[in-house]
Amino acid sequence: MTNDIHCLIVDDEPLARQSVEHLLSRAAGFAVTLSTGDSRQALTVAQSGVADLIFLDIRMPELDGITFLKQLNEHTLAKDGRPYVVLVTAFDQFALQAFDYEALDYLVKPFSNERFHETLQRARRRLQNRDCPDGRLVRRIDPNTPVIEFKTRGGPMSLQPAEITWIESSGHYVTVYGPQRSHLSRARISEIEQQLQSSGFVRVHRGALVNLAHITRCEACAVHGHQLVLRDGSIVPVSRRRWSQVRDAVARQATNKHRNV
Amino acid sequence: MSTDPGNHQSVFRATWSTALAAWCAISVSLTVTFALSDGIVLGTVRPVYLSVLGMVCATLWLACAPIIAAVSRSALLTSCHRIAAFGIHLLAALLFALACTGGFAVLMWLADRGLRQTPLPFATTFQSSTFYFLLANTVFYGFVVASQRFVDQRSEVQVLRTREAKMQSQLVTARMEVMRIQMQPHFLFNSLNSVSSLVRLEESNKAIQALQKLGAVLRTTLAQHDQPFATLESELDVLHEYMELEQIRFGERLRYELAIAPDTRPLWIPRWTLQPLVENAIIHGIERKLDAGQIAIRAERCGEQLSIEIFDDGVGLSERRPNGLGLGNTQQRLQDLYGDKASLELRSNGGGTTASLRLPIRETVHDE
Repeated sequence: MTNDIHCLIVDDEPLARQSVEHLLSRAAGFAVTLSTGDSRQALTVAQSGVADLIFLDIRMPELDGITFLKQLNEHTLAKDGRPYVVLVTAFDQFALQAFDYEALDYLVKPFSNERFHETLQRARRRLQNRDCPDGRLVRRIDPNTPVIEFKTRGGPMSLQPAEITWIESSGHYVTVYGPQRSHLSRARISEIEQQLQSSGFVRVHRGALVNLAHITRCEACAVHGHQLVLRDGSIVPVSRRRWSQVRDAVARQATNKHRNV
Repeated sequence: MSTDPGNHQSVFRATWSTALAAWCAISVSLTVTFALSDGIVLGTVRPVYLSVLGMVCATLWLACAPIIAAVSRSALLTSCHRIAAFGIHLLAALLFALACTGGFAVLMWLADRGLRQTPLPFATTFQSSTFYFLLANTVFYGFVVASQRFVDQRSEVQVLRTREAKMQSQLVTARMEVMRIQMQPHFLFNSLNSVSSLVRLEESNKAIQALQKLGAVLRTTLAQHDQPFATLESELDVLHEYMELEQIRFGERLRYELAIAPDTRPLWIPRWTLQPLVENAIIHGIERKLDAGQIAIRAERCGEQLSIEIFDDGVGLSERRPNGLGLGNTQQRLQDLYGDKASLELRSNGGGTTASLRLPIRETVHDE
């Protein structure tokens, strides 16, 4: 997606890189452009302007993180043109230097998923709000891209509404069916429904919220009268009470699609 | 061996005051002895003359004391059998007594001649004092030998005690050093970070393995060991856990290889000598290099010595940061445990560095 935040991961330890990659995969709107232990190669890539956000280790062979930051700052003099840098290190003694070089954040390993999530929120905010005059290499992330956040057992995560197929409620929990897998989250479906109202979701019965864009067809159903077949193959029944509402929403969605095409 | 200067000064002072006290006591007792012999031979006592003579003789005696002590300390007397030593001492005492008696008689005769208009003939002076002087001189000889023995024994005990205390403190320092290395952000934080990454990636089995290794390494480090030696085998076991932890962190970048001759495994080596060396090899051989690095540990018997080499193909000696604390401590410990019979040196091996450790072979935990 073009509106994704492009990330570089620079760390000489493979396990540390995988860890950050994993966390980014759980965050909506972040894409890993390059993940490498070779800081020189990463600097070249960063200087070419393809990255919005860099996760940078400090202690690395050949080119350490602080020097990397210094050279990056010298190269891209225009303040607005620089990618944001998050230092990720096992040492806390470089925090002041990081401040001098205007790093966006300073993560001390091992960090919690929540702390990393805060970093991502901060990065997203900055990238959405920065000035971005024409002719500059830098992109601004569209501030109108909605992101919905969930608390899961594996820590906080976020998805873009378009990625969600449907959401199933079971008491205090909801199951969010995402692009690859489902996530169990402690939330009430009514709260999520409010957040997703403007993003093309419709409540099809008391316990299900469906993304209109993911509906492939409607079928008759002996028990409920009607049921929806979704793009991922799942079948969601529609309650009799809500059928007319759902039918209208699906029709509206179809018209919109035609208009856009 | 270094002694602190304050201590040294007090010992010095004690020696001088003791010598002065001894000199006074001997002067007085000699003067009394002279007075007695004077009274017997002449029937009169000459206080000034006799006390001056007493002091001169006391000085002569005390000047002889170090010679007696040196004789008693000599290799001939300390190495031979007890009975033989006793015989030699008896002979030496007799010689000393005769010489001193003669010397005293000459002094007395000379003084007598200078003071008296009609001096007594030498034979008279000699005869009059012979018995007392022979006895007194022999007793003095015995006294000097006894006090030399006493003082030497006491200082020997002290030296032993100091050495023991020093070795104990070095063991503690070595342990602290290993702890410092392990507790340092370097080892502990990196290990924790590895574990947290594994948990995050849902590699729970690997995470548990890493925790087990970290536990094993910390347990041996934190355990109290009064014994400064451990077998190469047990040191290698801990090292193995340590290396595997580092391998989790570095992945493909760290390769390590052991070439341990089986007959070296049961040998005893000073505890915690290998780990600082391997840690150094990792810092300079793996961490500061982008490509994969290799660490090899080799141990073999080399004649009367055990040779252990830790090899890395890292950045080499010239680029190393001055970080000699761990090595310095290890070197000092080797010096104290083995004297000049052990050595530790770093040398370049083309690209990287080899730490070469040579120790005298120790088959049992106790000194052979």
